[in-house]
Amino acid sequence: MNNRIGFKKLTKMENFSVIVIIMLMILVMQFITGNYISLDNFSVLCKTLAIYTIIGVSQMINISCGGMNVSIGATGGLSAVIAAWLMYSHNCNIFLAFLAGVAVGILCGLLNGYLINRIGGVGVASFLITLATTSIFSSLVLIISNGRGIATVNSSFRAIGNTKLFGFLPSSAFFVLAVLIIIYWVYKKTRVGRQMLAFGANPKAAKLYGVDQLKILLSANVIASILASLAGLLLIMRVGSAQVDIGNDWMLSSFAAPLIGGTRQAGGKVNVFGVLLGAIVLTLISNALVFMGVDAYWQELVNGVVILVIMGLDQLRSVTGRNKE
Amino acid sequence: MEKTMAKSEEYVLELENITKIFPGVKALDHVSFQVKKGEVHALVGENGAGKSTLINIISGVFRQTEGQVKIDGKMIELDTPEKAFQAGVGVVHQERNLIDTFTVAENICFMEESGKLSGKVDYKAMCAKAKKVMERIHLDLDPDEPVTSLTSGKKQMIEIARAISMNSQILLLDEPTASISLTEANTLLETVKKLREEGISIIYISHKLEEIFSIADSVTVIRDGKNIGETVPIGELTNETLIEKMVGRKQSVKAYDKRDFSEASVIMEARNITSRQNKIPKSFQLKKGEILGWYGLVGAGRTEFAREIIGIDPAESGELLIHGKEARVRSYEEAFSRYQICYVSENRKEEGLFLMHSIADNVGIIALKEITSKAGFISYRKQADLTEKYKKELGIKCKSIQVDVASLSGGNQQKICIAKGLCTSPDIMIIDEPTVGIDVRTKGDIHELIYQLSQQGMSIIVISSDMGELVGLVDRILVFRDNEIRGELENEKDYDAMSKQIMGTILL
Repeated sequence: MNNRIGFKKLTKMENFSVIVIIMLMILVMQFITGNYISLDNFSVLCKTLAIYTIIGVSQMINISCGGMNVSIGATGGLSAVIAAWLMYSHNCNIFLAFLAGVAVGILCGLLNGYLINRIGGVGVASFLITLATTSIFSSLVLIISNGRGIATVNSSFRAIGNTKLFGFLPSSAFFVLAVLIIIYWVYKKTRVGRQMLAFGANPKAAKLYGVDQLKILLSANVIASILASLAGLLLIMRVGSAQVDIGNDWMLSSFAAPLIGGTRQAGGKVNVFGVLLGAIVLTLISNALVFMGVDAYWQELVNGVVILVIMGLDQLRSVTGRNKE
Repeated sequence: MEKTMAKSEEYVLELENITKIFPGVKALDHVSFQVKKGEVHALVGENGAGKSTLINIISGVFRQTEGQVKIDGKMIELDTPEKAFQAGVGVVHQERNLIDTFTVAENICFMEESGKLSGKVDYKAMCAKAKKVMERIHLDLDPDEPVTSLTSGKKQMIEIARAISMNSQILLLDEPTASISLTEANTLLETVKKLREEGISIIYISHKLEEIFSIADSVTVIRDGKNIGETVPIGELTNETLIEKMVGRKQSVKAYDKRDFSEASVIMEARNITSRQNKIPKSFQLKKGEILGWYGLVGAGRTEFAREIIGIDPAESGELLIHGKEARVRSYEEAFSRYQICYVSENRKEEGLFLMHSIADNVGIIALKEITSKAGFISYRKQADLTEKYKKELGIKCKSIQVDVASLSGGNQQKICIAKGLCTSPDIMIIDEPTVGIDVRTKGDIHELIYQLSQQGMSIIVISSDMGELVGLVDRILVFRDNEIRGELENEKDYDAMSKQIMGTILL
């Protein structure tokens, strides 16, 4: 009896279905390959997972206040290339290079936030502005690196990305954990977090009761862009070079991770740890495709289908929920 | 000397020569009045008179072009909503402004979270504070509850709680009872009285004169952006003198002649209609040229029933006879194209109009067939001619038919909604709350319009929560309560007798 109630509670948990899907996927993969559940594979997954989670959280912040940011990939790419370029061509200290990368993110965020506010706030405005800034940032990447990228990244910088604790836990896992905890805390406990959610849920009411649109858009875009840079920097730490195409394939995944994780599409409600689950789903899919020898070209197609299915299920759930009421 | 001292202490809020100019429009023109401590100060006037603009200035949403605001005798600049709150001005705007994804506590204490960006939020403290504030207004809700599931009356009370949460001395209420049920409105009025006893000054805007007479201490009338005379104590006013001040001429609600429809043919008959949501069967008859009133409180199921008849939410069982033949209305499109029934929604802004489009485009979109040339392209000349025709027939007041509908007053918007209905050349028109939020003078115009349409042979169902309107206008009244038709009354056009009968039917 007690058990049944416990199970019911469990099924009512917001992310129950996602967790079940993840477990099923792992089991199926283990069944097919025989050696899927291993520490080695775990640390490989962690690295991809880190990028998906951080860009997912970045997009979640934009979605939370009613907007979107399609320039996450370009921002991450620009930060990565500038940091790598400073280290390679100017022998810059790795710590300073890292900070410079983050600073690039802050600038990109300020630019996006300011422009979005100027042309009207949220929704379509944020899409158009970030679409435009995407071309600017991507083009800067090509200009700075002469179109070739930066082939080698300082070895100690690379070492940070390739350190494993206890032999299997990559350093990026700690970055991710820190990001999740900080952002969770921001949304739960700070004024800026609550204001972002209020603005996302009802911008007009929020403004009438003391929320400043410009401040909120700047905060959201700056925090989101810092995370995008972080993702870019983590990526070059891991692969050891800054290619010009960093971030090109981030856009869809950045939306997919938070939406799978239960963030409200229209803004106003987030599920920070849900992004991690969403990212796990995306990671497992891409990993499974590799394992099964499916062409990499299929990846985006599968991601697209997954997003559509998730959104369809979401719609279904809200409809059945309403009928029950 | 002594006298002036007494004066500045007496007034909590003073407005001196407030003028507000929007591009091209003078919304307020040297408005001055004072609000005493602990009084309910009613602000009345027709739609578009400038009351809401005034509220927006006092609450820091707009900045006045000229003039001064004084609080406790001191001049004050209220250029942001935040400043107004800090100065002790709490406001409940006309539209609901809650954050739906937040809990009751967070909505009430929203000002603790807004404003500066830095700083932590203490949710427990907010719950405790919200509880205290809710006790003050006798609102019994769990602070941790989400606000989405609450009734509109409860939401309104939460807005009031938020407005007084900052120890406000002045509370601005802009049509607080416009969209809530009667019992909830009574609770709200009690709350207003209680807050007055606490010494809070309340500026109260309402179109419902009975409310004004039941709670206001003094009244300031605003007409065309100017205040008409000095503030008057409520005791010196009667219904008639107040309406006269508002519209500038004497006018009472006109009662149309009693008409006899016993010989007229039945144009529509509903027999035991039920739907998935409403299992109680409902039947009625509508005769040619008749105006049938559907009275009931908000939530009595009138709009829902109308939507079943016109196929928006199709009925589940029962029969609908139109011109004596059985009709199956499966969608609204079918209702107006096949059965010539049109519906004018109570929700003008969301369901009735394209606010950002011009009057001509609003009319044209529903009359595409008529304004399309033989080749299948839209003729703007035909569209303009058609719109001009309705503009003249319905008396729509506007600079040109090319102006945005959003810029028109509620009354003119309603006329456009009716024009859109007429474009489908209906035999039967269902008008839901035709004069909600519309000023007294335009109300009369709309009634006249409905009456004229019925004289031309159209059968009309008027859904209304305004008893005076129904008694003056319609021929027969169906009384709704709790999704059921409780009674049918022949309208004797005598307000006193009819109102007693209607209330009797409802409370039976």
